[in-house]
Amino acid sequence: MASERRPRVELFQGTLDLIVLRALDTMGPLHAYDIASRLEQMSDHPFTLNQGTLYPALVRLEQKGWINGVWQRTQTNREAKYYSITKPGRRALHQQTERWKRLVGLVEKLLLEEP
Amino acid sequence: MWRMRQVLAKLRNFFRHQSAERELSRELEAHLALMEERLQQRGIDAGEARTEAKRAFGGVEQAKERIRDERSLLWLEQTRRDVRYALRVLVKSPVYSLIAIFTLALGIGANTAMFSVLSAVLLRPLAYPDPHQLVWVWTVFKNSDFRRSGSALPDYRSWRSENHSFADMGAYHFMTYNLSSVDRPERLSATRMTASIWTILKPQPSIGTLFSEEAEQWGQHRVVILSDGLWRRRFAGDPSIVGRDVQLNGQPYRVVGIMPASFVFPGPLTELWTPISYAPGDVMDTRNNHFVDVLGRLRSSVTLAQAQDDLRNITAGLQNQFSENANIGVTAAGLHETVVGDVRPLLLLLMGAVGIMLLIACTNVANLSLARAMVRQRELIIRVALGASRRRLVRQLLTESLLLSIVGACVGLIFAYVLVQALPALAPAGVPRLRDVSLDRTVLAFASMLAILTGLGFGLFPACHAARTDVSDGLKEAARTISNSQAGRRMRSLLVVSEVALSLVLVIGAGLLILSLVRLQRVDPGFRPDHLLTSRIDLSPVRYREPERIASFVSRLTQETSALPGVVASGLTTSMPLGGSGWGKFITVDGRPEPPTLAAVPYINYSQITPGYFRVIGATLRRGRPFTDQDTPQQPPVAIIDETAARRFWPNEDPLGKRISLFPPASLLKDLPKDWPGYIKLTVVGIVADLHQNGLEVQDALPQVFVPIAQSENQINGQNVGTSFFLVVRTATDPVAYRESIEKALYGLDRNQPAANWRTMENLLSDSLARRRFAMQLLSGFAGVALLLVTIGLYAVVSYAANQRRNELGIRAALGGARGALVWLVLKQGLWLSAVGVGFGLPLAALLSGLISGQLFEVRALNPALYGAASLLLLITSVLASGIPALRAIRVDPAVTLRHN
Repeated sequence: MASERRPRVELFQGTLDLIVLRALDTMGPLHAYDIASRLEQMSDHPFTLNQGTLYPALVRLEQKGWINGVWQRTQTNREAKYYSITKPGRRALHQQTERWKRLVGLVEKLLLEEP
Repeated sequence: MWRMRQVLAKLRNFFRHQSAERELSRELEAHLALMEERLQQRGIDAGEARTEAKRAFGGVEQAKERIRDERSLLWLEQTRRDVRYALRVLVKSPVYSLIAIFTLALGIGANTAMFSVLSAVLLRPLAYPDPHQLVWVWTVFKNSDFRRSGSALPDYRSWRSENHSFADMGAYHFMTYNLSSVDRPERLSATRMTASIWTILKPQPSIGTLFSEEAEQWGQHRVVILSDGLWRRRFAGDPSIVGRDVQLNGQPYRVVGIMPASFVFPGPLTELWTPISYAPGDVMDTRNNHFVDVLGRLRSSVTLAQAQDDLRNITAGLQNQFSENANIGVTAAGLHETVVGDVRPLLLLLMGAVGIMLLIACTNVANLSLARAMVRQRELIIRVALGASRRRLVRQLLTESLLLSIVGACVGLIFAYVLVQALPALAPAGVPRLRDVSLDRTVLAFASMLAILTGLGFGLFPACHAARTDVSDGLKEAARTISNSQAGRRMRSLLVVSEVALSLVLVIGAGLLILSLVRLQRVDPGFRPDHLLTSRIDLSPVRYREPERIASFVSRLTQETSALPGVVASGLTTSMPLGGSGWGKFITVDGRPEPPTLAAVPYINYSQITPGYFRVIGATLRRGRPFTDQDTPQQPPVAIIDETAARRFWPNEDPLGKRISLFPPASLLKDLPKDWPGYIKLTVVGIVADLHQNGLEVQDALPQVFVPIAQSENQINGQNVGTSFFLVVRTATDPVAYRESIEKALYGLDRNQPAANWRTMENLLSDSLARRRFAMQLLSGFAGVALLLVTIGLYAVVSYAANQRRNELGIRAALGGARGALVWLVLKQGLWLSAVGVGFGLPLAALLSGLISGQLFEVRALNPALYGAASLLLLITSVLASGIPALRAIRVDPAVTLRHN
């Protein structure tokens, strides 16, 4: 059941949420298309993800209260829903980042260090 | 914290489905528009930009689905989709849906109504604190048929003081008081009881106090507690009545308290409570007089069985101690069993019957859904082919059947509500606690459980069956005609067969009850019940102390009422057929060897009557003479016996002129006074045809003896002359119209003397059969519904099969097949199915018939004629059910059918 609920992306479980939070934290309010574009630019290897798969993550984050969506006008006067990170979102991002760092450090230690 | 928030958001979204959908579409559209705009800015033309945007986004609908899943709880979301789909499917085939809903509503409604009765009467605890500790204690006479009798006050006192099992015990008995010195006299039902009953039941009076044990002292006993109803009805709810006196049986009783309306003990008839009290040396307060009911509250750690052992030991001790107790045993039963014990088998029987009806309803709907599943097979196969998992498919089909059963249950609840409202009017008076019946939470829970169980019951099998279909076979078959799989057809036949078998069981059950009732109504009661008006007159023992006064009142009342216009004859008696009271006596036949022990002395039912009584009720005097006005106290005492007594006591002799006494032989009694004059001997002067005193169904009636009221003083040596009479009046026209003139005549004789329980004899007779009639009507109703359902089921199967064979029938018709042969071809199938059903149903009915045998009267549970008739009825039903498809089959135009192919 759990796998049905998650978007099928070539990312570790939960990393998409983290990346979205991070993007909103560093760049301020963005709409979904912006986020998708930034994600493509941000990393060396563009994520091979359909932009549609971003939405379940946005719904999830909004329901957790970590981001907040507001309808606004773009510079070209189109309407779009802008998401911004909330205070609990920042706290969660901080915690998750710490966890990732620890995990990455551990993986590095186990896989890359000479015995 | 955020988890909770998330679940709440999901739930909120589930209910805000519409607006969330709108918001989602808006956002996705904006997203695509932005992307297009950006692409166009890079110089890509509009059409290409749109395509590219859609590609980059991925499937919009797939994204929406995933978002929906994410947005709200997954299973809720899927259920929503299933329910919406099921609704669409059901609305599209309204005939199927309506038949299914109606069938289920009948089954669930009838079950719910029946269960609400069962729940109120059998399951709900009685309205006393800790009712499971309450125990009723009865005296058992070892030489008699009476399984439970009232007890003697001294025995009760021995039990109460010597037991180790009861927190306390109390005694009470029914009593009537004439309330006088208010605007009109009235006879009131009362309970006289020991003060310990209050400690056992722990009620709180709404005003005043309860009486204490001191009130049981003779001389301090004139206190009374009023029921809420009486207090409001006769004393206008005036609280100042507490502390004042009311006149009961011509004596002042001090009102000490008022009970709240919620307090009912021992039954709803009781309107006042007084203490049991006797003057020292009163004969009522001896071990010979068994008239009090005994109630006890068990100590918390004691079981009923332990208490019974305890009581038995004490009673065995009493047997050795007192000669009067030689035959006395004891038994005890839980209060609940005592109150509802004798209706339990009847209610359980009806519940079983209504359960069978529900089973038939389920079978029927299962059959219908199976037929529909075959019609829908193509749709289902396509869904499987397109990748729907079988589990998903079963779930979808189950959702449909659950939806049907839930709607059916809702309609059924309305149906049950109407039934329950009508119940007090329909049900017999004899069923206790019927006023408590309501659709409460237990009943609603029961109905919901039924809805789910039936939904699963009739849905699961067709669903699994449909989902098992092989896709490739199915597609091939579906290409040609709608599938008609062998297994499905066999299964449907099996369902119809079991429906027939179950209905046969119900029809036979109903038939047995109907036969019993018919036999009962043919029983000769020994008198003519038409045009008889009866009433009960309880003379105040204070004002009517002297036997002469009683005799004179009785004879004047007889004269006055007989003289009324339209009155054919009038008389009084101490016990009347169906009057509900009896008076038993020992009988000793003069000149016979004396029985060795008191236990061997026979009993006889005893009534005191006015001379014209037999003529009034229309009893037949077989031999001898009736009583006359010349049978006065000064004349030799006489008696009339019934035929049972004649057969039993004088099997080879003529009873006329023989002498009896209504006491045990003096040699068996101790402590007789030295100057004992010896018992009065009565001469038998007549033999009357047997009267059914206790209802038509009581066959082993005790022998009866009748004596003139005028001479009754003689038999008892001045003591214990009857003061409770039934006035029986035969009228020329409708007896109900005479009540007023009779009452006037009565008040003319004694302004303070009320009469109560005005009933016609026909009413009493009909009431005595009411419980049976009620059971018979219910079971017949269930059987009728079952037959209807079977008809629907058979019709569905046969007409479906006939449809399948349309080609064959058309070809046969085209080749000149006789119409009769064609009809028979179709009819045969329905007949065959029901014959197999009957074949299974007969042994099943025989097997279950033991359960109903307790409710039967002079009908054997295995009645070959009835079983045959019921089978025939089902076969005829099957012919009717297959008739329409058969007729339709011959009306088929061969040309049309053949062209069809």
